[in-house]
Amino acid sequence: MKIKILALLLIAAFFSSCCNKESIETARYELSEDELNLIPYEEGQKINFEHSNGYEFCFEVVENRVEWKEHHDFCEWGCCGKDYFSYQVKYVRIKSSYPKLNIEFSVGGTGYGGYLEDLIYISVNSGYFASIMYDSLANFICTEAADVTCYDSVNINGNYYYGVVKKDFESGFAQDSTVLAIKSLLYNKQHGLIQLEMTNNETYSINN
Amino acid sequence: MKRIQLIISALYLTGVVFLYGCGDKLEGTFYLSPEAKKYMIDTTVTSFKMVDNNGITEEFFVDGSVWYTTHHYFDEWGVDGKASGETYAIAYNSSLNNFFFTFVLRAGIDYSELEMEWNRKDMVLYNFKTKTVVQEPKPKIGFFDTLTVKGIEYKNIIELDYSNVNGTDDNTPLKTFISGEKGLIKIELKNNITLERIAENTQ
Repeated sequence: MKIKILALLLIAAFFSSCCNKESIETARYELSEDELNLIPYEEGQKINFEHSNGYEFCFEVVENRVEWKEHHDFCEWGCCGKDYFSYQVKYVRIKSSYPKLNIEFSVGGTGYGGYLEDLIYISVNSGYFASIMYDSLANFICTEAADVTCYDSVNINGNYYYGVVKKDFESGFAQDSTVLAIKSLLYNKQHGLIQLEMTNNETYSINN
Repeated sequence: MKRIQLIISALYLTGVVFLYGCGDKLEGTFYLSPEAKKYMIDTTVTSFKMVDNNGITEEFFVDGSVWYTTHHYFDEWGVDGKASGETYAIAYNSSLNNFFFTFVLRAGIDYSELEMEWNRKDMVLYNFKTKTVVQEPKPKIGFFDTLTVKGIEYKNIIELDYSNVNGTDDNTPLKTFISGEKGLIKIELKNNITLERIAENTQ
């Protein structure tokens, strides 16, 4: 008899823990066409690059997707039926076989709800990170707070690139700051990544 | 019913007694052989640069986020921890290509072994006593007194040669040369890229 009562209690507890209330989507933030174009790559595309000592190699765009994600505020108890909002994210990954570089770009999901500014996130080999702020018209923000250097044009390997931003990476693999690291990147809306610069001044630059 | 429960209990007890009672208890401290000790790389050299045959600079540095807390320690064995083996370990990460290489010397009961692994993918285990690679796949391992790289003579050289092994990871070098004093000194990748260590005061 005791066992039956215990089983009934367990079943009751199990069903009471189920959530019957549907969560309500309170907003949907879709990336504008201009924002989608901030990462100007197409899957399968190959981009020629050249090291400052002349070695030529190429990046291949191995991932290019746009997806919807949901933002739920953190809750530990009573999470059933909480509101959430949806947002769109564009995610692109390019990689080269040597040097072995795996670069990820993403846009979306930062500026909604006033959490952060609108940003493009860039990471290299999951060890170097940078973000570039942009405004509501998807133009790069060049104020001091944005912590970037903006150039009207930059000449690289004989070609001019316009509307270029330079951004330092925020961290590296090594804890020792004297160890070689990827220092900064050049980026524009038309070509995406234009150059990576190392702390020893070697560069990897686009070579169209 | 009671008889079945009795049989199950008896079998369980027999198993426990068997597991705890088999074999002699291992006690003592086991040390690396003199031959293995020749390859305890200098851990005060925490980073070094290499340059490849295209003039691209790479830097390796001692990785601080690994399983060991000190490079040279005694690893406890057995259930009661009364046995321990001398162990030496060092791991390198690289700044540009994100290479990861581990090098471990380990004392066994009557032997010493060397373990090397590239990028958490391809691992080799070498027994100094039997002078053989212990498990598949079996790359070649050679030992030399010296090797000169970029004009510098390095001592106590180990050559790890994967050129006879199929199916290794794309980023595992075909050949790796390690100095027992200074660590990695030369690697040859599959795409005809060779990285060589440069002098410490060179950029």
